[in-house]
Amino acid sequence: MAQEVNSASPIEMIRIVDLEKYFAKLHVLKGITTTIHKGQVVSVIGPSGGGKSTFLRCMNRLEEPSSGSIFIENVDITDHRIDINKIRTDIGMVFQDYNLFPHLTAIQNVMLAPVHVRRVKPKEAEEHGMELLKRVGVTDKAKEYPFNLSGGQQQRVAIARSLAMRPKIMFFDEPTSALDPEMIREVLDVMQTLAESGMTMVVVSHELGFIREASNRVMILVDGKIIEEGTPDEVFNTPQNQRTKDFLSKIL
Amino acid sequence: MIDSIEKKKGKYGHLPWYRRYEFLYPFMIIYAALIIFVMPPVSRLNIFGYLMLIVAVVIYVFVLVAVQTDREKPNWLKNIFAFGVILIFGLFFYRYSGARWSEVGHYFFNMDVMRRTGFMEVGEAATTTNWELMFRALWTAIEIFLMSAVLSTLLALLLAVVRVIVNDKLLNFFIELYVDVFRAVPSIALLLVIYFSLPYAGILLSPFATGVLALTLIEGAYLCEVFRSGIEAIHKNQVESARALGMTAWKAMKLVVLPQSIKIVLPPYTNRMIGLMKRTAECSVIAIAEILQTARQLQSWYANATPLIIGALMYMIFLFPLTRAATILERRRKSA
Ligand SMILES: Nc1ncnc2c1ncn2[C@@H]1O[C@H](COP(=O)(O)OP(=O)(O)O)[C@@H](O)[C@H]1O
Ligand SMILES: [Mg+2]
Repeated sequence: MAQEVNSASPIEMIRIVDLEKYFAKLHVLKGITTTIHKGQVVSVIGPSGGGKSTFLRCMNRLEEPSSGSIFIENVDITDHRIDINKIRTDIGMVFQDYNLFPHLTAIQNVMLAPVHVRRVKPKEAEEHGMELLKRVGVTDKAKEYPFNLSGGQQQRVAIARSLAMRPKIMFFDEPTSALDPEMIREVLDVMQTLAESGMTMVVVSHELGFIREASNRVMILVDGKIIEEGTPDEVFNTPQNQRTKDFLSKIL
Repeated sequence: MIDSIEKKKGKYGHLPWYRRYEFLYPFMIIYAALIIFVMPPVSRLNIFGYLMLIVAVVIYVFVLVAVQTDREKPNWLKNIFAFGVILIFGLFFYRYSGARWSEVGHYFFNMDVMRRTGFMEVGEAATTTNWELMFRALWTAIEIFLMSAVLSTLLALLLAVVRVIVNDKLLNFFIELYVDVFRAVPSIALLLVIYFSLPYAGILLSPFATGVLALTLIEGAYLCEVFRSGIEAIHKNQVESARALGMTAWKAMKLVVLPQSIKIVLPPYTNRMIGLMKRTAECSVIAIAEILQTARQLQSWYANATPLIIGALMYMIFLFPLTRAATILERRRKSA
């Protein structure tokens, strides 16, 4: 298991109060309240269509929450007077389909946002970018276009691209679901190392091995509600809620 | 070569006579000789002559198909037969169109007309040759083209980006209205309306400005649609991952979407630009001395078609690089 959060004085990173989200009449998130502390690695699991992606996307306002508040480091990001672009630079997001920019090479993908958003000098951004590519193990592909990379390599570059903004929080939305089985491991390894380095992470994933190894908290999100949460051991070994048991029996 | 064909006969079965070189080589020579020396001249073209022409064409088509469909035949032979089609039709046209070919040079390629000076004796025109007038006209056309190309591109880019990013209902309505209206208006009509009716409203525009304005408005409407489809072809995931990195909508557009759209948009854009250059000719209706206007004046003054031919050649030569570019871009996009 990743390093335990310093339980003496946990620093609050994300606090969510009564988050609700409607798509027109469709009620997708039905009141979510939770707090995530610095250095925590939270795994979110639940049946498809339960609102996991929407939950993540509300937390950096790729989707507008319908009601409720989301505090990132005590700033309410649902307040429309804040600059959401500024907040997003602190939150990395990795998507299921990698979404690398196909017209740029791997290293250019990684450098783009630091140079144009953070105004880092290109040379510095490149150095940092190469360092990150080394960390995710694709240095040799730095000058390649996404088209020439395998799915696993693309996803690792996508992780490096997010890390290049030096985020404080990382969201992962099913980062290995689109990958061939033999490439899942390489991406999970990168995520595990990141978790061990103390990054605050929220991961939507059904990779049970990873969840047990790397995360210190599991949330079960069913039908727009968190029906159960706790450490992986608690949730997997002694689930309390009947619907949790039903769901786990399908995936375990 | 004949040898190798003979050897392959065993493998491919019997080679029909019309595919054999013993037939094809003599055929080419005899056919060429017959068509050049034996075909009746136009004055003696009776029913029998027409029949001969038809038979000649049918025979040629038959042999042409036989050669083109034969995988064993070398490319140069196929090319000769394909080229032969052009030569034969050229020859038929030359002989039977009834044209007075001896006068073609005088009426269509008369350099003497182009060298003359003093057309209509305007200003210092007494020393200005018609060549110079035509080149001035070309420059005027290029000026109109470049101005309206730049302006319409900027206008269309702005409208397309605003439409996608701001995505405001009312704004979109007006942009769509503009696009629909100006795609439906013929440019000649718009030119005349602007030129002859705006003065009543107290707005006086020079012919040049009128031309640029009308072409810009129409081209802008078309290009807006071209750009919009290019932008919308880029998946929304691309915008989302750019926004998730903290980019503003404009930055995501500039750094992520537009660079990808360019590849999609460039072929239709180039085609629109070619069309725009050709449509500068429509400015002749408001008496701008561009290529068509000048050429027609010279043509009727000298009763000679040479200026028109020169004008047409000017368009062709100016547009050749663009048409080539369009073809190459189109091909590259298909192969990508
Ligand atoms: N942009 C959207 N517009 C309308 N409905 C949506 C949109 N995004 C998601 N939904 C709906 O919200 C529900 C939850 O989706 P999602 O958050 O993607 O679930 P999960 O990630 O858990 O599979 C689904 O029923 C889905 O169809
Ligand atoms: Mg999802």
